[in-house]
Amino acid sequence: MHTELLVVGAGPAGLAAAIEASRAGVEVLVVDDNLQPGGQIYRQLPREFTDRGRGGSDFRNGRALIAEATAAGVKFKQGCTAWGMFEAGVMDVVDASGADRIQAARIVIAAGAHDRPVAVPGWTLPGVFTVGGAQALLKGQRILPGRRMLLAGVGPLLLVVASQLSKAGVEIVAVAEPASMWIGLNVLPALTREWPLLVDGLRYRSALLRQRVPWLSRRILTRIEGTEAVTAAVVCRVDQDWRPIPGSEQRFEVDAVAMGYGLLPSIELPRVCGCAVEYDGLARTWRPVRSARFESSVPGVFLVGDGAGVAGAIVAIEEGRVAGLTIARQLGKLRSGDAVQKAAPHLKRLAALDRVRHALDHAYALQPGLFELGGPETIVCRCEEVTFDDLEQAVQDGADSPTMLRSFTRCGMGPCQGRMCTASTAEWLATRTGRDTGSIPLPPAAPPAKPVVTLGALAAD
Amino acid sequence: MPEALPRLPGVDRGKDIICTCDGDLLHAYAGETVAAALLAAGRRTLRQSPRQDAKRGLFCAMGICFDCVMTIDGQTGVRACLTPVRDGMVIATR
Repeated sequence: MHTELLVVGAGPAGLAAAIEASRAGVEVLVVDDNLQPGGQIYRQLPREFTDRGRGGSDFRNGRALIAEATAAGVKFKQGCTAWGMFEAGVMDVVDASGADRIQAARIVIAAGAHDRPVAVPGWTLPGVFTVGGAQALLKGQRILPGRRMLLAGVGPLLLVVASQLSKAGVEIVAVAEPASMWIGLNVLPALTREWPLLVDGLRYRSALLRQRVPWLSRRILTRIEGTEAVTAAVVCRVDQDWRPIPGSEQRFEVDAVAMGYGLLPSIELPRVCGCAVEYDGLARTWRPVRSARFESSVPGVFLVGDGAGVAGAIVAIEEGRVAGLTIARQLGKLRSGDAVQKAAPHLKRLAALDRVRHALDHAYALQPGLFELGGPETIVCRCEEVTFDDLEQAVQDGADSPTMLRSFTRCGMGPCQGRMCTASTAEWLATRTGRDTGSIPLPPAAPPAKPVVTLGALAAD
Repeated sequence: MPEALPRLPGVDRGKDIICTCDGDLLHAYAGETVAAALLAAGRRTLRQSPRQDAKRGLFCAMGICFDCVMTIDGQTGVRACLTPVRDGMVIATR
C-alpha cells in the first residue's frame, strides 16, 4: 500500500497533522490502534452508543476535529497497529485482516502517552486503576470504576478525573497529592497568556470544592489493602522528598483506587523506527530528539504530541499543524513562504505554551520518596511478577543495567514490553547503585513495538 | 464479590448481547468491551496470575498494560479492555 503521508495515531496531534497536510493537497492515511478515532483525551463513544446529551467538551472537540479531518479528505484505518519499520519509509502494520506494509513519503508518529505506573504494595489488586484507565472507563464505556474511591497522584489529569468521577456519582473519599497545594500559584505567571487553561484549572478546582471532595495535599498513597479486590487505601503525610512521615497514616475503606503520577510518552514505536531519544531530567522521562519543526533524527519521520514529550492536547494540536504544514512544503504542495506564514501563529502559541509546560513540570516535579514505596515483596513487573526483592537478588548477583535485570529476572519481558516497569526499575536501580536516573540506559528497542499475535482477535468482528 | 458497578444513564447503548464468562451468563450491550461488561456484572477478577496465582483486574483500560488478558473464544492473551462483546462469545478467566 502507498500513501504520501502516513500518520500513526488518531489523537489530537495526529488528526491536526493529517488535516493540515491533506488541506494542502497531500494524500493522507491515518492508522490507529483503537476502534474509534480520537485517542485518549478526545475519546469517542463506541459506534453502537448514542449520547442523549451534548457529551463533555473533550468529546465535542474530538468529534469536531475528526469531522474536520474527514472533510479534508483524510482516510482512516482503525483497529490497525503500526509495529515496526524495517526499511526507510515503509511501516509494518497489522489489523484484523492481517499484516500489511505501508510505503509513505513522510511518516508522522503521534503515539500519545500513558500514566506513569508507580509500584506500591497492593497495586496489582483488582479495583486499582490508573487515573487514565478510570477516565477511559467513564468516558468510553460510561461505567463507573467504583462506588467509593480514593485517588492518588499529581498533575492536571488527576484534578480533571477527580472532578469527572465525582460528577458522575462516585463518592471520592480523598484525593492524595504529595505536591503542595500552593503549586497552582507558581504556575499562574506562565498562564497569563493562556488564560483559557487557567479558567479550566479553576473550574475543576471549584467543582471539587462544590462537590466537597477532600483534597489532601502533601499526602501520598503508601499501601492498598485487600485479598480478592481492593478494600482499603492508606495515605501518609510526606516530607519535602515525599517520604512518608511515620505515625501519620490515614486509612480509608474504598472499593477502588485510581493512581496517576503524570504521563510517560509512548516512545516504543519511534525507538523501533530508529529515532534517537534523550532524557528529560525535569519530567523524569525519555523523549525523542526533534528538530524545530518536529522531525526526528530519522529523516522523513515526524513526532508530535504527548508521545514526543507530555504537554497536553492543545500543544499536541499545534505541533501537529506545524508538522503537517512542514510536510506539505517538503512534498512541494505548499510554497515555502506560504508554509512559513501559516506555521508562524502555531509556533508563536507553542512558545507561550512551552512556558506553561515548564512551570507545570517544575510544580509537579516527582521526588525520590515516590520510588521507595514498594517493599521487598511488592511486584514491580506486573506481567512477569518480578518483585523488588528479585531485583535486589539480581544486583547482588552482578546485574547493573536494565538489560541485565531483564535477563536475570525477566523484568520487562512480558506482553506490556516494559511499559509498566521500565521507569520504576530505572528509578530503583539508580537509587540502589547511587547513579542519576538519566544515566540508566533504556533497554534496547526491538520490533514489534506492540505484541502483534493477539491483535487479530481484538478487532475481529 | 464486590457489588456490580452502575452503567451511567444519558447514553443509549447498543442491542442486547448475551455471552458467557466461565460458564455464567453475561448480559451486555453492543459497543461495550468485555472488561466493562464484566465490571458492570460485579466481576472484577479477569484472570489469575501464572506464578503467584493472584487475582488481577482491569488496570490501564487502554490496551497498554496487558493485565486484563483473558481467553476469549478459545484464544488466549486477548485484552478484555479493547475487545467488544459479541453474541455467543465465550469468555474465560483462565
